[in-house]
Amino acid sequence: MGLEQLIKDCQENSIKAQEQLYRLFAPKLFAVCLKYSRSRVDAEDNLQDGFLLIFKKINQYRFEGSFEGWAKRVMVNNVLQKYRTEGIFEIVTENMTEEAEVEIETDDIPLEYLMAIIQQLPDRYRMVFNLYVIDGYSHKEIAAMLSITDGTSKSNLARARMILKEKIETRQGNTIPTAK
Amino acid sequence: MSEKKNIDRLFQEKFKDFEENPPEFIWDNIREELEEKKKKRFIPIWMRLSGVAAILVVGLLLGLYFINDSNGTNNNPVVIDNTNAKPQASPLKTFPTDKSSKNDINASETYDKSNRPTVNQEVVSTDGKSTKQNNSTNHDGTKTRNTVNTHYNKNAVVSTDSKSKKNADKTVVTQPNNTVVNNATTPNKNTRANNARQQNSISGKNNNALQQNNAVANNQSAAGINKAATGKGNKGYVNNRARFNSAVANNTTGEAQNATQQNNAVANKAATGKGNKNYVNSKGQFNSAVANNAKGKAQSNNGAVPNNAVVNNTSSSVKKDTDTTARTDGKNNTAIADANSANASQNNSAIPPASINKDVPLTETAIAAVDTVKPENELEKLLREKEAGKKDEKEKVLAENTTTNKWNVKPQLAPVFYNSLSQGSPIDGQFAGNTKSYENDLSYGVGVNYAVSKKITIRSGVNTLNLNYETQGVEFYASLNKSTTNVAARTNANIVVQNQGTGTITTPNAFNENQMPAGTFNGSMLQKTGYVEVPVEMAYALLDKKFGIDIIGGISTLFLNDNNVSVVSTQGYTTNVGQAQNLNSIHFSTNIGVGFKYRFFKSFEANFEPMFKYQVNTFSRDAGNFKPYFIGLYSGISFSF
Repeated sequence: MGLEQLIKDCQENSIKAQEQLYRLFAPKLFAVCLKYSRSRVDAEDNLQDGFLLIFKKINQYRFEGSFEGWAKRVMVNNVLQKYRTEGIFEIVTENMTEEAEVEIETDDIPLEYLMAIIQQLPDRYRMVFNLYVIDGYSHKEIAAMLSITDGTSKSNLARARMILKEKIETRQGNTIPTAK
Repeated sequence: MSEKKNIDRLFQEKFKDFEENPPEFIWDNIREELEEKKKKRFIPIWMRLSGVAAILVVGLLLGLYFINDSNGTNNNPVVIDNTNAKPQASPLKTFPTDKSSKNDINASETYDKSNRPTVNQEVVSTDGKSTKQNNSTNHDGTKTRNTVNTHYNKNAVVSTDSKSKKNADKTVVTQPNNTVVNNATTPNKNTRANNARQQNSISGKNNNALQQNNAVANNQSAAGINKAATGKGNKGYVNNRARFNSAVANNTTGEAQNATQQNNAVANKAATGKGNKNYVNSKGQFNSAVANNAKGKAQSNNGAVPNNAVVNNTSSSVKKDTDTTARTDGKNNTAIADANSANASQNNSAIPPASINKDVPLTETAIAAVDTVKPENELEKLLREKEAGKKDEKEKVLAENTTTNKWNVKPQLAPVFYNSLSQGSPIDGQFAGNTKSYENDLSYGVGVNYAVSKKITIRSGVNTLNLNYETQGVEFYASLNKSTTNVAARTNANIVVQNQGTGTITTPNAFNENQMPAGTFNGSMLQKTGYVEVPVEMAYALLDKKFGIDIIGGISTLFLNDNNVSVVSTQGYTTNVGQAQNLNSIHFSTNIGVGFKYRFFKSFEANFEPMFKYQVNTFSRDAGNFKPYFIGLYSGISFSF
């Protein structure tokens, strides 16, 4: 069965089709959730909620553009919405100017570690970093999504980069003292 | 190996093709939620159908009531109009079209009866709803708890993050009182509280499970204010979080409750069976807690139960109250807490909440102790007042909603298709077998709707209605001394209508001057009836959005205002025969139909309502097995105000 048919079946609320769709996209979308959430537990919750939302809104998918892209957007928006309602975004306020590229020494840093330090970022830093760096949104788009200004988005990104860099370097300092 | 690399690129590369399989229980949760939605969709259909049935029953009963009523008063409603008639030598050549004089009917009395005040059912239904949902909540809650227990058994090591720890500290002072309040005010949230109590297994540095428990209970009660009506079970995480949010919104106790936000959030997760996940502590500290769940006695009064037991409670009754004993270790800190308590339905006013060591350092041991509590305090009062205020507000909102756009006026137009359920003729039994052709006519009028509640609308209005039919294959002739059955002639010269082939009049008697030397003409007989229709109907909204669907049922009172029988010869000549004498001046119809509406502009709606109306008591006698009904396709544009 093609994806299109599968989606159509989902639009008719077929549980079987919904399960197939879930199996097909859950790994990719769980990765998205992991990046955007504070922890694995949060990511699991977000995945669950996100999928429920996808099934609820699947009638709105018009078969224009890739379904994966659409589902990813729903997922991300769901997470953003969640943190927005919790009012977490207001916590971070700072005025840091945008910074140019941040370079670090990289050895073979395990993905798990990178994931952990992303998750440990303050919520908004994490959102901005993910949206900008990994998912390729512009600052303008991010500003609109998070109801912040372009400048805040840029400065959040810079802060996020710095925090990540520090953590990576600390790790390198601790575990591989003579990596250079 | 190391190299200089842009941090962005590092992350991009690492996460480029990153995928991870989520745990299996997530799909289980999703499926459960989806299935629940389906079930929910299913139940209202029955409720709707029963609503429709109720409307029909009420309609029929009212109809019967009116029928009996009208039989007594309208025995001879037909006015025989002979006075203005001229004697006519050859009635076949005339084409009189004068209408019969209108019957003077004062039916307002009858009609008034149908306009009885209707009961506003909104309050009733709301109550019913919330009760039902509470029940379902309990049900769901049980389920979820089971799931959670399973998870705990599998994966009993739990850690928490620093936020929740911090917040737990803050809650200590105020929480106990809240617990009491909540238990007292929202007894049927009990299961939720129990669910949420799973959270107790998550403990932190100086974390005390009872604190969290209290926090959760508090959350529950605050949420209960708003969410009882919409509350779903604890199954779905979304719902739990929704409760959590509303709890925050309803916060009255300020800092203390705000401080529990994190805890609540975590607690809700626990309730959905995810509490057994390892958290990454932002400070890099991993606290672990051993959580043991067991079923506890619901009757047990916590005041009497020392809460410092690490030992599991064993299941001793069927009650669903769950005790959780949590202990953290790893940093020398042990938090022992008993989350027993709080079965609100079990007279929890007696349950003392815990008093907890505040800010216990890492190396200390925090043991949750049981304390007694004052019967009432400021917080309790505040909460109560808040609740009362909420109720008032709710009522206000309700009132506002119901007062706006209650009325709705609708000019309407309907092609009407007239027919009979059986072969028969109200004129004479001999025409029963004749082919009848029913004319389609146009009904027009004005409808008025009054919205009793969001779902139920009472409708009335005035419509004109013409119901005509032709009996084919008849023959007629003029006679001075014979007349057509059930038809009062309007002229001195009667026209006798009979079935074709019945035989003409006997050979004219040349000596009888009264006998008209006339032949017999073939043709058809046309019976015209005109009514003013006043419907009284009830509509129940199945769908009430921009596009709406109603089920409509009720009765109409039909006032006769046109009554005429004529014959049409095969040549096309029409001659009046007279008025049907057996038509009731008032009769009724039972109505059922479906209404479709589309709101295209604020207060304006386009309506289309196919209605089936079965006429009752149309004829005072000799109905000749004629069971007329008509179908009207009412359409119009309504304006609500």
